[in-house]
Amino acid sequence: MENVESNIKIVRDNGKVSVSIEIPIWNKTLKDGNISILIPFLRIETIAANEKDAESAINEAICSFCIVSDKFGMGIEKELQELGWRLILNNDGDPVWGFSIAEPLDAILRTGDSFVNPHLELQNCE
Amino acid sequence: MSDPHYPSVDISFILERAKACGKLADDGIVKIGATTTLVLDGPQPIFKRTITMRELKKGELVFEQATNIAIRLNFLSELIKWLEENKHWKDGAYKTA
Repeated sequence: MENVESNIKIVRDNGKVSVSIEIPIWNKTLKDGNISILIPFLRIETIAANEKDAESAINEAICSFCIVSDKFGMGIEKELQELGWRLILNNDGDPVWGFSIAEPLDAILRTGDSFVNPHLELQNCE
Repeated sequence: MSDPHYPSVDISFILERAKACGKLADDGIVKIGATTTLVLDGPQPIFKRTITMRELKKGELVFEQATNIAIRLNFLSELIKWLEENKHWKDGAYKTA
């Protein structure tokens, strides 16, 4: 089974914030066809009507997390740290946020589906 | 539950009760698309004081989400009353006469 990467890159430029994210998610189809979505590394749970809606649900949830972290928390970076993320250098030598936890748990949690959004602009979310 | 046998709940009722509980941060209701996030006041990290909900049908939350929020913000009895009055739904087993 391929391990899913988890990394987040945050670019702040003149008040504009854009986020590039790759993160494991788990989908579970419920009795009435709705889909329950778990994003464990952000401790977020949401719900969608179908597969296509799931993508919107995940984008909305991540956007909400980022906006709420900046507005009501200590900022996205600090809130990611509280969740267990660490700043690391990626293959290109750029600083990105990566998720790091104990080995066996890490192996289990990396078995989810991969959600990738290379360009989430927080301003355009609302 | 997210189950056709359980009624959906108007999000307006949930938000009204959330505002009334006194635990929300100022302007602590953030709406992004169909997702609404409640932010509670407090020093804890953000992930420990946010509640996420999502309208699959405009204006409505699925039963399970509504009850989880009601439990967390301590207005479950009000929700049960609302369900009886607005959805003619009573908790527990039904008996037909």
